Amino acid sequence: MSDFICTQCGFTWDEYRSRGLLGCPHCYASLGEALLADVAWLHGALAFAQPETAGAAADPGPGAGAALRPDPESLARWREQISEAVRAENYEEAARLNRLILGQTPQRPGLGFA
Amino acid sequence: MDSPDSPDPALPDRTPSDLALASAPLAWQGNTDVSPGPVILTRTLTYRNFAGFPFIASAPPTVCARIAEKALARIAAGSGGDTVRRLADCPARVIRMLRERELLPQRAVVFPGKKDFKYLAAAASGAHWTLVNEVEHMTFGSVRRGLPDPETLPAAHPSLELDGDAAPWSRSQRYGFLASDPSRIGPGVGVEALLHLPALALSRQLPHARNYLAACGVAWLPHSHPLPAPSAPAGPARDRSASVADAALFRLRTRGGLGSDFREVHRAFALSLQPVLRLERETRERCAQHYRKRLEERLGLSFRVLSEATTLTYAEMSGAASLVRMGACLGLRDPQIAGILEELLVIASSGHLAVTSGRDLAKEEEDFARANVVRLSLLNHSGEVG
Repeated sequence: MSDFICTQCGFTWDEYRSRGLLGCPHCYASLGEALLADVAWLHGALAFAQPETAGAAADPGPGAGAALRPDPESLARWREQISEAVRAENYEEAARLNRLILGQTPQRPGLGFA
Repeated sequence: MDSPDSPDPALPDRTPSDLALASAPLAWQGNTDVSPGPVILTRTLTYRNFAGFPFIASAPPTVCARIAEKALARIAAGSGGDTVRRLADCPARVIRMLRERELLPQRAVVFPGKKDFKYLAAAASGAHWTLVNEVEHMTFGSVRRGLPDPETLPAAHPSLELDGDAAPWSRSQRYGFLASDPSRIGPGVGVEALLHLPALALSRQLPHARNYLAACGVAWLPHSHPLPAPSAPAGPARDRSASVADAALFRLRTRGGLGSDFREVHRAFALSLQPVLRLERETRERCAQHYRKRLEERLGLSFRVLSEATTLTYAEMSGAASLVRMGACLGLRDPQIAGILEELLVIASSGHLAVTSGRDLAKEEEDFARANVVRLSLLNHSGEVG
């Protein structure tokens, strides 16, 4: 990837790596897959419109609504569990519970960051 | 656009004096309904870049000038009352003052040869502002007291309401709004909160909170005031580290929001903070229950430092103010004093003192001026002194 040069603005991969900034909108298309690891690390998601979320909204299926909007009892329980996890210094578990409360997918395999 | 040395015709001739801005009330202190808690203020930033232009990182100066013209025209068409400043024209002390007022980022990103095209347009109240060519073409910001409920937040900055999300912005199907900094793509929104966590600092639980927030994807940064005047001699190394530890002020910032919308980014951020805020409140209560006498002694001592000292470094002031503010939040002092101390953390900073004095101050002068400002503010709050 070190020989990447954007055809629109002339930005190089090394410039991106040194400053963490891209040169133009076209850099996103030019970099393509190489940028995905950074996007996943920064956002915990790979695309603006998540197809699985859109699908779930159109056709929730049995139990899907409950997963997206947890009931108040679960919320209270998870919040307590977060506090306990923080006290026990189990931060990954606390973050997982936090994602449950947010109604997001608990784990996104391979992204390596919450 | 004219050369940087000539007056900029694009700027309206209504820039108020720096002194007026330095003595204006702080934007986030307007809402007195919010009781003093661990969250002092929340900033919302919306990042946008014009379609058809490169980002500032790669744009040549001529293109930066065109982007600035386009952005300024948009600002003029939107919220007409905004005061526009070209940042290259502002003395360093004014830049520090703007930063202390949360109108500029804590650290500027430098693009050699493009400094002349950075502008700040701020509402008179300072509650919302627009930055031009600071990494992104336009950064729309607003600041509020405490941690606002995401449901009550307006979805956009006044200038963005001109054309909603439609128009001239660079965006893609996959990544949403595009930005030079890839952490800002998606909804193009960032949220940042200034937290005061003295109980966690006293009980040495800050690493717990920091590790949990890192696992949640929230960035944790020490509050970086005071920014020293360029002319001031470098102080001892302890001055800065003591400021961070004793003041117990921290900035928390979202890292990304791809896959979310404006409200979801806010909601996720607020939710991630809740365990930390709960832990801080519980620790404060425990501290007040079990160590009340010692706390009151330290609080009294800190208050005397603030109200009687003839010279105060920023580290001394913020350390003492931290304890007194915690006492105010616990009901050991008048709760109103919390707001006064929050204000002092800004108006007794290096940039504000230099602007109100009309020149950069030597360190000794600055410490003397700071002690005067603090003493007078507390004297005006008649119930606390005398």
